[in-house]
Amino acid sequence: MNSLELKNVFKTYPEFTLGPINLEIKQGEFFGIFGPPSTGKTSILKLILGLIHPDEGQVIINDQDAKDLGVSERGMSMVFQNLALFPHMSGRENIIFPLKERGATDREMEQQLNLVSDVLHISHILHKNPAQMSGGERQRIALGRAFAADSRAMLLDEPIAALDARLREEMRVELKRLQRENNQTFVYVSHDEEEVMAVSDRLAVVIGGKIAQVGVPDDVYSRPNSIAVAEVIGSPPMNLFQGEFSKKGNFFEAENFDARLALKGQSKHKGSATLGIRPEDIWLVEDGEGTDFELSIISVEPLGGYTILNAYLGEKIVKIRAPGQVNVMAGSKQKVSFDPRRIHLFDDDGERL
Amino acid sequence: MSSIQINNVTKRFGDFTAVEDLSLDIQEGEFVALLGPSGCGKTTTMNMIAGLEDISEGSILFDGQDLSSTRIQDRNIGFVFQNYAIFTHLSVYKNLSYGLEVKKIDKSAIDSRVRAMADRMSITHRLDQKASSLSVNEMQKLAIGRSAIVEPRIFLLDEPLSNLDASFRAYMRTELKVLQHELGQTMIYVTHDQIEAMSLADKIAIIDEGKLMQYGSPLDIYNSPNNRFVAHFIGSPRMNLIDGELRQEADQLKLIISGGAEIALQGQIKSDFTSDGRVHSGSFGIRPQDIYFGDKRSSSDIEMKGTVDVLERVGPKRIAHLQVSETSFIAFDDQDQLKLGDEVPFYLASDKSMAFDVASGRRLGVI
Amino acid sequence: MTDTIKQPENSPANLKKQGYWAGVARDGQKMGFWFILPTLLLLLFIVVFPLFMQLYLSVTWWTPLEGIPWYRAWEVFSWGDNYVYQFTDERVRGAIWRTILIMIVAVPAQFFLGLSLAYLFMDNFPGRKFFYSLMLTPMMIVPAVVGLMFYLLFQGTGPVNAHLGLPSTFSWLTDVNRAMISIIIADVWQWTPLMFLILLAGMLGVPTDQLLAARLLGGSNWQNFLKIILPRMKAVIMIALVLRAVECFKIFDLIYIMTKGGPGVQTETISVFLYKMTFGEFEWSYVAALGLTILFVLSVIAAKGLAYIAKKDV
Repeated sequence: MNSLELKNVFKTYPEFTLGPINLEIKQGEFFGIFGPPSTGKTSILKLILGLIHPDEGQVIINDQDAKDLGVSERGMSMVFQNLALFPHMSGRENIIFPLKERGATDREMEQQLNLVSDVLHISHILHKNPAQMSGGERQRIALGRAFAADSRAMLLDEPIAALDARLREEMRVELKRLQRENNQTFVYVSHDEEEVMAVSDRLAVVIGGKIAQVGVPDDVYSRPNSIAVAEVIGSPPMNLFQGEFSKKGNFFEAENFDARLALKGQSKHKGSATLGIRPEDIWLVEDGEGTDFELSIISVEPLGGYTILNAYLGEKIVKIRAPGQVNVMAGSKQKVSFDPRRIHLFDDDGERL
Repeated sequence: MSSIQINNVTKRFGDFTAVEDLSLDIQEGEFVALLGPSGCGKTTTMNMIAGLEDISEGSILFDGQDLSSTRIQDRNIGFVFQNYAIFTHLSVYKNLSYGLEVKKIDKSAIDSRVRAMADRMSITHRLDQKASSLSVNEMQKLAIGRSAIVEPRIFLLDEPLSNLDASFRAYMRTELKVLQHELGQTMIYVTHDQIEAMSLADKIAIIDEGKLMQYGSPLDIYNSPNNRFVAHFIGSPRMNLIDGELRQEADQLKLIISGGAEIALQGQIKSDFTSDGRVHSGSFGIRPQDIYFGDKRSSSDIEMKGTVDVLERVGPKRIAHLQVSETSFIAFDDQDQLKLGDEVPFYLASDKSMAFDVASGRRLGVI
Repeated sequence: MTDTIKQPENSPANLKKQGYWAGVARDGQKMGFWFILPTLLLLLFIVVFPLFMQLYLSVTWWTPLEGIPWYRAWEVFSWGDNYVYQFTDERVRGAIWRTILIMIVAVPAQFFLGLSLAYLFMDNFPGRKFFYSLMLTPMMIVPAVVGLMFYLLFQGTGPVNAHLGLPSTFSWLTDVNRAMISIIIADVWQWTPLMFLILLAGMLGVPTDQLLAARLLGGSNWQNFLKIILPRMKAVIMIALVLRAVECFKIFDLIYIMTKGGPGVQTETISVFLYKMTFGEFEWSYVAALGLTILFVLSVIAAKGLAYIAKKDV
């Protein structure tokens, strides 16, 4: 059963149009919505919640058209980007507020409160007022409030963005665990690609107000269906080269490659196209093994478990992700190679070939 | 371009000690990151360098000179605020020229320098527009350009990338590194994001609760953390740190973790733990990439069994969270074979494991 | 996407009209109206109705001495005669000139004094709260009492002359030139605190980290003041200036108590003149016309000022 559905939804804004949006979110699914900032992700959440109404199309909740359902009748909680904590209430009062509104007993409220504070590590700040808390603490209280309500579905708008990097990594594991244990439907919006890919069962990539791709993270990662998606998924993102196929279709010439790329009968395509290759699919080689290119290294980012190299191929910047720690200096020249099977090809419209 | 010596600096706010006995030696032209969780004192330290806060104890020297009696406007220190603090009522041009105008430099000289900097920061097309109309990313570039144009002796950046969206952050990291190289500036960079620190800095100073935990190059710190805090903080994904009680049973040294599971310590890690007779609560550290599945590769590697609890895709890799009684190990699922709920045996590479004393956090077995 | 029969309520055009209520459910709007209604009614009775009464009277010759009740004033219709007479009346001209004189001297004086004081109060210093309350006291005193204070101070035998070593024959309030000066001094004394208050609020609204950034870039206090603080205070400065300028037309208690408009008409400003006309000569319809004219002029000034502020977005 579909927990949530958006059918052909449109919403017009002064700067852009959101739509057509077609989404089907199943019950108990952790559904991510990812995209660059200000492209309508938060609006999608607001449409689901009922804060705004679609200009066209339907929002369907549990197979029922939600047009006549008020915000409080939809059985959802939302964690807002700006948190919207009640400033005159303590952390504790904020969290139990939704329960109080629904007439829960004192015991139920305590139970939920304890459950939530343990997971989010907020027991020690429950007595404080939001004004006395740090940004990260406030964010966790907001999460606590939404969780305590124990609704069928949770809408989260960048819920952990204000936390430290380390805390974010821990929190997203906790969020995923909570979601699974409670079997709630989560709709999770974030502009942090790594975060969304890590937590979602399925995700939608929203670019320019439209849905660019929907799928499980593995699929979206290994088979982005357009240049737009390829450019935003992956840290560092995919390297893209514009070029042309040779007449017989077995070589690809890009503007910056010195050598032609032998495709070994891979493609049956003609004309111009864009070739993409992920940083981790490029590796450093010693001389003379198969297809190789020479790059001049601009900078080296040693991250411990892997290293990111920024290099010039001609005039274009190429990023390489090398495993482990490499002994490469900025300013040196390195030879690299890649597996021709790992390339992605896109046509002139940006669509996958 | 200045070198900076921070000598035993302490800062107290009433009863609260924000920074305690901090000493750092920063060379000319170095890019140093002050890394630590929120509230650890890194911003306070930077404020003291800038002169925005005074020092309770100790001294900060610039090329050997003490500037504490110099007024802030005469210190010539570049500072990029977290929220950029660009002059929103002025145009982009005026923002860039401010530092030069107050020095009463003549107009044509100002003009050429402003245009050169705008070009360098790729915001030439915005020069005549009001600074408030810029996008966040452009504001960031403007903030840096505005400080760089006066050629300060050092550059201080307070979490400059934290307001940017994730993709632009990655782009700016590269830009900043190149910029720092070109300008040859001594840069001090405050952040809570260890990936940023690792990728940008020549040296990282890790600070926790006002104290310096470790100071060294990114890879030195990664490969050889001094203590448990550093080991936990650096590395993406983070190192597995398992706390437990040490128990000697016959010939076996075991680490008992909460929930009852045991890690039978072997090889190097065993001797690391036993090297200090006082240690009873130990912390076992191993990086996810040093956990493997399949067949045991070395006799001193440690065998464990766990249930796959969470599967995450992080970039090109899959990460599996393996539940062992009440603890979790994170490891890479290189073969993409694991499924949720699988009970699998896995191995901990003994020579890559690290031992820590829980009480002091100190790393054991290091000479 | 293309055919919608009527403008959906959340379309951009409608959102602009709704303004504050944009996006909120319609019941919110209805409730808001009911909350405003009592105040609207109050405004109606206190402002709108008397205004129409005034307009009515201004186009007649009516005075209370005529012997007919006011609503029958139509019996002595005069059309625009009152309005025409305003412009030729020497006394009106003089009163307006004197009012403007006060305005162009007192307002700038208050402004610069207020600005300097506000600047001093920007940063914290020991006793700041105490001095702040002290600074505000002049404007808390009833204007009539202030008038009395300065009346006593500026007496020929008073403290001012004594301190300046001037003979008791040196008069302030009865001298043709110095009477105006005394009034201006009193007004500045009383109202500088208001300027101070408004300007300080404006100054404190300047983001501190922008000021810090300016300082770090090498800007001295004076340079930062000119380039950062002042430009950002444009809207507040305009409010303060318009407020005081318009108030100048209303100065009454001070002048009436200190000099009664004298000597002769030397300190007779428009308010004092209107008072005398109303309660001295009972020329009510003339006063009505004059009052409306002044209202009109002041509204134009205030509107221009407000338009300026509305456009300012820093």
